[in-house]
Amino acid sequence: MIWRFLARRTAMLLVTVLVAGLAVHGALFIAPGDPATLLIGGGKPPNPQLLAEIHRQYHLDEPFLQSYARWLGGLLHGDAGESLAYRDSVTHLLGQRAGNTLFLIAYAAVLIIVPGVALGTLAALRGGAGDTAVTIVTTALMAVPTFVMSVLLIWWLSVQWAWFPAYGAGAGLTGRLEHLTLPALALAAAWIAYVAQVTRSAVRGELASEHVQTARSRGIPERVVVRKHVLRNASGPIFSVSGVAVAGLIAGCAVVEQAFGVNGVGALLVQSAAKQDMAVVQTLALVTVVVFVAVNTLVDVVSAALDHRVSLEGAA
Amino acid sequence: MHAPRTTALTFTALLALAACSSGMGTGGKAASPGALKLTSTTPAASGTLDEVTWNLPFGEPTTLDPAKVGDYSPNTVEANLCDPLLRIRPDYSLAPGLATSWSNPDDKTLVLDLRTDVSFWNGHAMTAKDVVASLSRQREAATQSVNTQVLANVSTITATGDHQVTVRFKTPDELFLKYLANGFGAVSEAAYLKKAGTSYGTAKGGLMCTGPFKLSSWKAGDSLTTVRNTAYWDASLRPKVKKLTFLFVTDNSTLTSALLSGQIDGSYEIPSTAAKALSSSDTGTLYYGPSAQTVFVYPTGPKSPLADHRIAQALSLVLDRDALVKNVYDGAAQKLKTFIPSLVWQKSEAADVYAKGYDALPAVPDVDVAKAKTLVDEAAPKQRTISIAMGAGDQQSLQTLTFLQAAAKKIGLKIAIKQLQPTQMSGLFYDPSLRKGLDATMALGYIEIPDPLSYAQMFTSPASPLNWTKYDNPEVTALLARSQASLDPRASAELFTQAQALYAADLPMVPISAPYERMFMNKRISGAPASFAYINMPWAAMLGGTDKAGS
Repeated sequence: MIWRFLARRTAMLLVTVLVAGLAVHGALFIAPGDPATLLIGGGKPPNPQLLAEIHRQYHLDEPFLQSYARWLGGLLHGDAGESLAYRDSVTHLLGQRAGNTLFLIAYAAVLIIVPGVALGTLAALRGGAGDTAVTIVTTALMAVPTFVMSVLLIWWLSVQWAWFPAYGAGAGLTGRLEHLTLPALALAAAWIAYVAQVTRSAVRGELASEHVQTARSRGIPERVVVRKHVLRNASGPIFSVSGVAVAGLIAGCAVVEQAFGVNGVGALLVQSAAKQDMAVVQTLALVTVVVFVAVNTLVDVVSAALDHRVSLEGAA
Repeated sequence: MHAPRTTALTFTALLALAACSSGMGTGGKAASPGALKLTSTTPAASGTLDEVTWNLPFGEPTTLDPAKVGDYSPNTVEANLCDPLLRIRPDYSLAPGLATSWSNPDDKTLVLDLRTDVSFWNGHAMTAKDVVASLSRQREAATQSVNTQVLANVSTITATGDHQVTVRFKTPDELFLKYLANGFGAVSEAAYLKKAGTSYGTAKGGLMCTGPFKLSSWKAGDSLTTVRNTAYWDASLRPKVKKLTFLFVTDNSTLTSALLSGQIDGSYEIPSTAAKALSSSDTGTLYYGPSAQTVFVYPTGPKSPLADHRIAQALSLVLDRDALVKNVYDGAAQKLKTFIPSLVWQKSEAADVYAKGYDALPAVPDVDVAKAKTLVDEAAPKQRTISIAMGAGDQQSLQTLTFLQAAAKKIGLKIAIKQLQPTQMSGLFYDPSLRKGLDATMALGYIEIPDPLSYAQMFTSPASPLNWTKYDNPEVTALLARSQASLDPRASAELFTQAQALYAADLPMVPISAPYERMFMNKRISGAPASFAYINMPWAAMLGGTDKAGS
């Protein structure tokens, strides 16, 4: 049953990748502009022969399907093509940047899930003023766009207080933690509300359920009731919403990486799209789709394992 | 997924036309009340520093191969790595570089005598063979040199001694020598060039030059690190900075924060939006230097309303340049009389000839709406809407065009601002199909070499790919050709100024301003030149510590 589910998901993924690849390739292909001119730069008189030479070298004059087939064919041999802007292989460029982005996403995920679940649980158990306060604060954070949050954090914690660096990804564990704290905060802010709200309603639902009432009437201490009966049963929805949040972070990365000058996959995507660096954009679109689908699949499988009331049948 | 407005500025500047320029009042004559203090140099550095971080606001270089550098970022780095045969000083005067002297036995021959005490970073001695290889390779299509036009009049380049190179010309060419001061004239090791092939100048292929800094590592997208060359041949320029790291912050607000917090020590080409915050900071100093940069509006084709020079002149007459300089450039720019700034020729042997020619040009017009209206009526354009292109997100261009838009309204012309994506904006300089639907473009550019001639030719010569309006004044073309063929500086300058007087009257373009160079240094460092000449000189070799602690 799980295998059938995974096979269906994989087939779906392949179709998505092909369609997305064609769409991205097509969009870049019809977009006006000439990426080769960016390589020459603007400090010298225009030189048409030089441009022709670059077009030849990078196959920029090929028809649409031929260039798509070239890229796809290369991919099957493990070669994602050559970046025009960096004159370097795309796999090498990705390899250099993947670490920063994964670190950033993991860090942001911790910053979302820990406070989100804690605040949501607190709101559900306490109710009243605490509940209202949690709702107001998290919703307010949700309303601030990530980019604005980035600028605010830099101004406040980097320029005014000099607690954190304003720019770059840092090196080593401590360097990375120090450099990526602000970007992770900016990335996490918008998602905390989401996780907190779902946690709150899941915990509320469990608190009102029969088995909790029964446990309480048996005189089991409240601490144990909350841990064993409430949180355990609420973990399914909490886990799946956390999964969705993490998948959403993949997209949000581009914004914060660009704002904080973090040399990651997201920033590379933004810059390469602006430069019409075909091979890079294609490959990154592919990787994003695969990761997104993989994370969602994992969430579905684990949710089903956590809560037997959820079946995988309807999920594929 | 939408990106915030960030990188656009980076690429906007990449579109800078080749080497544009603009008329600067000689000796700062155009100084208005409250004018900024311009300086070519900054206080000399006193101490050695372990590390300095410097920013490249136009983004990461795509290459460091001296034959291929043709823009702000790659030039800023490469000028510290690869020595050219001649050098440019902060005041734009020419000086010996790897060539100690040069002579013209006849007007079709140039003999360069080389220094005999120069080694590449790997310790190998530099000889005439390396010079010949570095210059000759730029003829080959595979090299993808941005300087092929410099070789147009050259017939042979040969080693006539271990330390002597002779260049023979088909026709005399006074420009060739001046181009030896930039990437075209930089010397790389012949053997290394052969080994590296097309990867020369990339992160993978590396470089082999003689400059004061060596390329040590290049992490694509992250940083580019250079270390000092302790055995540098020019003892007066032995670097005081042990390690110089370049970063590629293109976002204005991020750059401002990083400079204010001391995370980045300095940067050239500070955008005007960042200048306000930096000029009042106590973290460091914002310097204003003379520049060869220029901004103008240029018609995209012969059918553009602007291609009628009366319309161009009318726009010039309604544009309040004083207000523009004050509001858009924060005062850090000069009004233009022509499109070639005086910095380019002020240290020439014939500076007085150029100055006389400049003074004779009509003054920058004061606002005169009535006269402008008359010109528009005379021209009676069929089309009264003018679409002008600019790089998306470039605040300075946007504000400038908004100014022009308001002014044009007064004379019944409508300006439509078209913000283009980077590849479109840079592509329109090559591809006529990308100029469709546009009537003009913002042109941002600079002049690299200390000679105004090539720049004038680019817009007036019928053969030039940049002459979009099909401007053809045989007299101008002939005068400029004779100027180029004249090896006597005074005669050459004389012919140039005659041509300039003619095209100034009828070449259709709207000169906007000549922005000054803006450079910021943290208070812990000093010494780098503040003049635009940095683009072709080993500026970082002058950089060093002060006795103040950085923040």
